[in-house]
Amino acid sequence: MSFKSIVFTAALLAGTVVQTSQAQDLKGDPLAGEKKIAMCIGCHGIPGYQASFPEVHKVPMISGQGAKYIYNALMAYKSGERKHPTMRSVAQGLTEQDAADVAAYYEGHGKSAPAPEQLAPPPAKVAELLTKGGCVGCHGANYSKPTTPDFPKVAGQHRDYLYVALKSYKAENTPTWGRDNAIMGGVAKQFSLAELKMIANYLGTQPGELKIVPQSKLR
Amino acid sequence: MNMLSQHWNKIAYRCAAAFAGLSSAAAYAVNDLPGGPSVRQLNLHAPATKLAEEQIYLHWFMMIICLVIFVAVFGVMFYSIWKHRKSLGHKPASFHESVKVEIAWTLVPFIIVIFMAIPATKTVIAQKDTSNADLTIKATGYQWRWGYDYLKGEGEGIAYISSLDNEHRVLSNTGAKGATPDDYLLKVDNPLVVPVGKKIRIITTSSDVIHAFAVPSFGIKQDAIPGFVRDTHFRAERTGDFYGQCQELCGKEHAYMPIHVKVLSEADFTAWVQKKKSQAPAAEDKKTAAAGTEQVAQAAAPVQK
Repeated sequence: MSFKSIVFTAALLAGTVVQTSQAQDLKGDPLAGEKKIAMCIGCHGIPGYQASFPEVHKVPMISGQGAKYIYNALMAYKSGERKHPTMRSVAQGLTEQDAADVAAYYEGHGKSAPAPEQLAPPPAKVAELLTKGGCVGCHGANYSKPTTPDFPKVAGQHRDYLYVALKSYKAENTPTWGRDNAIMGGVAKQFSLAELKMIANYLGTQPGELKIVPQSKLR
Repeated sequence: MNMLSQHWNKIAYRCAAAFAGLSSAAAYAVNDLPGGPSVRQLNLHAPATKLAEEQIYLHWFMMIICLVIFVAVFGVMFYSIWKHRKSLGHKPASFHESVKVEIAWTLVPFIIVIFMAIPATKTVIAQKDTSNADLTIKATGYQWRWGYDYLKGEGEGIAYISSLDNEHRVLSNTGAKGATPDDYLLKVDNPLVVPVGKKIRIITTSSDVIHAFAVPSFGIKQDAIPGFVRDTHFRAERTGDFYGQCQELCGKEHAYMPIHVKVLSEADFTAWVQKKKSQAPAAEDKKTAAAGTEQVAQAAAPVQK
């Protein structure tokens, strides 16, 4: 019996105990997650690493990101809501339990001091865009305190990644890139690309809780 | 005296430890993996296709020609140096612009090269001939997995991702101490399955960086380049498991994206296709059902307002 099938049966058992309707409330185990992150480190653990397709941008920082959001994102790649081909291939190889474990690991990875409650006020034009998008409503006043753990922390994330992510919510009927998300789709579609860039540039320069924690060279 | 005996004790202890280490290594002995690497393997993999056989033939053919030339050239050289040395009173020959010699040393290597190139070219042309394939499969390189899509022929429409067994990955991270399985770092969850005796065309491409699809036993290796489509082909002559690895450095997990090709008899392959097809619609139904409820929810939303 392979390790994966054991994990899967364990997940199934856990699911039946907790109740099947609550299947989304998987308990992620950071210690189990540590054994499943080899592929994550390959990009997300290397400072300055760039994704090359469909667009060139720095891969997002995931150390310190909320576990629930990471889990949601992986499931969205798995189901095809998010279409980034390489992330899809990675997510398809993960069971729900694997994804929960990986997510739990990265939430606690390189835990840093919480981001400041108040950020410096953005330039007037950006403030207008942020109000129009209602960003604070989900991502929190300092963009590091999402109102529910389903949403990501975005303050301090790589600017080029934020821009590509925002842009990809605008995509429709594209096979290899884009993201289907009812909420973010509605938000992103009301902005022009230039406006999305301004938002990304502002958010990316704010202090946040996300970082890259490279693997130790001495192991 | 005491010091010396201590010293000897130490050496004896070390020897015993080394011996114990050896015997325990023997207990963990790794075996040959049919279709994959063998223990202390020096030469190419045992061939499973006609082309791989031809490659091995060419390999020996070239090696022997090189060896014969090497022995002849160095034999003449050392013989001359020794037998016609200055101390025996030999005088160097002095001649310039000898047309005969110049024609000879141009023609002889030319003929040898052509002699080597003719069989090699035949094989290279056969390698590149991917026409009239019975089955066309697209292999997509991802960081760090292989995706297989059956594009044409039996099994058309089957698509899946193949990745390394995580247990092996964990074993590698801990230094692979103790017993390692024979298919260490070559075991995948979903091998590429093909029928025996059929011409399989593999189309390679990538979604991120350059990878390379290679199976030594089939004598194939083809780069998988993002934005480009390249192809190669093979016709396996026997059933069994054959292994390869990504052969173009593609990032941190380059060593951990193995290729496992399972060659089945035609009947077994058909059964596998049936099984795979019966699984696939179930997954598809689920997806369309989910999309359906989403649409319903979206349609219902304005009404609730």
